[in-house]
Amino acid sequence: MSNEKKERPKVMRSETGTPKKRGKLEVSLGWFLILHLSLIVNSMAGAASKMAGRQKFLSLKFFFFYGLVLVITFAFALVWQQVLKHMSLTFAFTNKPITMIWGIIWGVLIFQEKVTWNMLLGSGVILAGIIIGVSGNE
Amino acid sequence: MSNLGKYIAIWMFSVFISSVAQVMLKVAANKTYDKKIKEYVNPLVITAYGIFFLSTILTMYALKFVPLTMSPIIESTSYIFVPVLGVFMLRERISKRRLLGMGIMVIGIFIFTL
Repeated sequence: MSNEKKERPKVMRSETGTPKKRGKLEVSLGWFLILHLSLIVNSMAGAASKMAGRQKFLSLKFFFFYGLVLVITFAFALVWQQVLKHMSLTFAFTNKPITMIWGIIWGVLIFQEKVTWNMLLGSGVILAGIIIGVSGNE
Repeated sequence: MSNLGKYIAIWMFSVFISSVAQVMLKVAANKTYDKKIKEYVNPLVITAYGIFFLSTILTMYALKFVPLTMSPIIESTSYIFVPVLGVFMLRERISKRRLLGMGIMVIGIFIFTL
């Protein structure tokens, strides 16, 4: 039965024709950077959302920060649709938890939040997972 | 406790419909359009963002009863939903290595939230 199945090619070729081997990124470096820039922008929505949550519900400041969340979300949406044209959804999603690490950075810089050891350890494990998952282009 | 469970379920449902919306965005992105604007203004993308909006409302509702510290854990279920939907609905291939990476990520999120 398994003989009838088509063997997956060992080396895949991207649209540009560059051979892509196992362990290499599934996208060009340019789109990989755009993906990460969009994820940084996306993580800022979390900070704006936290600011909105700190305001009195339905107050002017609440609407300002909630509006900021919407603007950031909209900007992210524009870029995300282009990002998805260039890579698989699972690849893009494998990079997404990096936003948690950016969240810590915004938390420290904007809200003077304390960073705990489990947050640092967790970030390290998340980063390792991303690196392994992203390079898993078999 | 069962009440808390109910709101966690609502939150997880919200994460699930967001994952479905992500698949819809990917389906839309895979299509070719004659005009750039149609990449954004098409039924799939509009419905997907409608779902995202509904999802934020559901999450906010759930947050009234579920502690915010649980957020990363509940949101991390998207790393299960999206690959499953990706494989079954988009026919995307996931290597063992990527699955391993995603598993490590979820463990990392758990450690993060401890």
